[in-house]
Amino acid sequence: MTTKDDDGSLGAEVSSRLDELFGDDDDSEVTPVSTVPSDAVSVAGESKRKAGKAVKPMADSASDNLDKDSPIRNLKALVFSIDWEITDETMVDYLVEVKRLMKEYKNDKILSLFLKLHASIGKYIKAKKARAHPDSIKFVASVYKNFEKALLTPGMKQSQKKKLLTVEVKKFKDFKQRVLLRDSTAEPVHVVESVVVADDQRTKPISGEGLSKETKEALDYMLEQIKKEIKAEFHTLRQIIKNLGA
Amino acid sequence: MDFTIEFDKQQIESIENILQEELIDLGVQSVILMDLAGNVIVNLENGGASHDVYSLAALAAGNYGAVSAMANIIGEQEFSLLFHKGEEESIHFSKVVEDLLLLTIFNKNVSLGFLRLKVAEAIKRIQVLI
Amino acid sequence: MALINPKKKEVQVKIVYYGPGRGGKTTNLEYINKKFKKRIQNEMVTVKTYGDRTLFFDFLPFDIGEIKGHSIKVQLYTVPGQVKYNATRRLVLRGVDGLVFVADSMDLRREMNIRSLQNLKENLETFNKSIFNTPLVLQYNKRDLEEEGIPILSVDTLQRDLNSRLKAPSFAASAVKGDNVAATMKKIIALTVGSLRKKLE
Repeated sequence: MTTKDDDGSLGAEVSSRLDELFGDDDDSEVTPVSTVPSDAVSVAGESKRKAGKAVKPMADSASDNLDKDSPIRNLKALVFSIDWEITDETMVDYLVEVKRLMKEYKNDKILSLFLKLHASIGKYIKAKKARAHPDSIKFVASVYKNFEKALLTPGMKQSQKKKLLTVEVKKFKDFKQRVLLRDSTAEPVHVVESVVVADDQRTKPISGEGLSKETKEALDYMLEQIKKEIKAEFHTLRQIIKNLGA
Repeated sequence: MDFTIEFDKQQIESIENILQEELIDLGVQSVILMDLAGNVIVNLENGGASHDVYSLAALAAGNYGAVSAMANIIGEQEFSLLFHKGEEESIHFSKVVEDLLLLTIFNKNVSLGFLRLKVAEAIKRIQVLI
Repeated sequence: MALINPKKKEVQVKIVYYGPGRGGKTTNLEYINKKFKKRIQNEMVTVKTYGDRTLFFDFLPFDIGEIKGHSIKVQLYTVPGQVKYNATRRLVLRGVDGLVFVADSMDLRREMNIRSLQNLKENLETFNKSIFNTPLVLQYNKRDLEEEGIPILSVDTLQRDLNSRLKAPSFAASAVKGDNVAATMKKIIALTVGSLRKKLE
């Protein structure tokens, strides 16, 4: 057996450590090695394992129970799309589709309001992107889900639809609160630009975060508008129902 | 002969801060910055279930390497999304620079689309440091 | 390339067991994993086919404690030996710090040993590495077959075929029985860590 010379002290330290750990006179049982280790982690060829996806889901492959001709099929695909990828392109497509549906359902106040919520959250995400509150994406999914229910559940009463809408409006309101809370207490994003803050003060937003005030105002405005519209429409609905009863 | 970037302590700390802010604080379970030889450079967890990070990194390097080779065979420079979806937890891969990978393990409370935005942001910030 | 984490003062060292298919690379790791279970305390990762052949790699990590102020983490890998898995072997070789070439002592594997060693040399070159200055130990495995009357190559023949230029340390071994498996591993770890001494100082 040929040997190369080891370096003095390092080599000696390593060798003695290895002998300690994996000594020759180790008396622990030496069992014959089986050819199939019991702790084998994965075996190739199992096709049942879920594979990773490298492609965005297309409209006609989105897993759903929507009719091929459903008017909201595109919107659903776009909602799924946002779940996979958030870019200007996806957000623009989403907002365009929402606008198109708003025209289509302009005579249905509840559905219109649902779509207004879609538009609001879409604009927020498009503006903020990575800085958006994580709940905004969940809200997209949730408002769509209830919108789909309201639109497609056969025989659903107006009162039930109203209920679904109210749930989403409340969520939006809560979401807005969370955004405001986060933006007003947020630590500055970049470590390099950190600002020292006294305990009894709120963290000053750095200049890049000045947008949050605008966003706040935009959200406030949208929420007020939505509230007004809902109130007005329910008032009208109540009048109609009253007149029918009369 | 040596191709892996050598980091100093300051860089590692800065990278840890970036990953904490952009990803762990988002609710991501675990983030691993690693090289393509399977070595772990930075590992952050959110305090939940702990994984065997070294085995994960070894497999991830192999996985990423294999998929890159497949991309080349079909005429692509690389795939823009390498992501494995589980029922509860999923894994996302992203290249940082030529020999560095960012591995993110996240559960279904985090949307992939949003994660990808945050990962891109984190990578942009890390690239400045390297 | 060994990764040194300056913050944790940790060194990760990658050692790859290379050689022709069915030569005993995986068996080496399995033996180490079983024999030193208490010390290793890690699961061995193995990606293999139904035919029980390594498809991607085997992986066994463990710590050997602190040396010169750095915590040393050793990572043992094997590669799939079959000729058709060359692309995978190249992947696994990436960043290698030390090598064990497991040669098959069976007489009829003589040619395969030589080709596999040549393949290793070429794959290293794709990473601008040279087999001549990467820590390397040769293991002449399956010496136990002689007892069963199966013709095996003499150590001299193996040395001439594989080690005449490399002049690397070598061990006659039986991975299935465990003979010289630990010795091979200790030698390659010592050589590899030794080669990093400049970085550890």
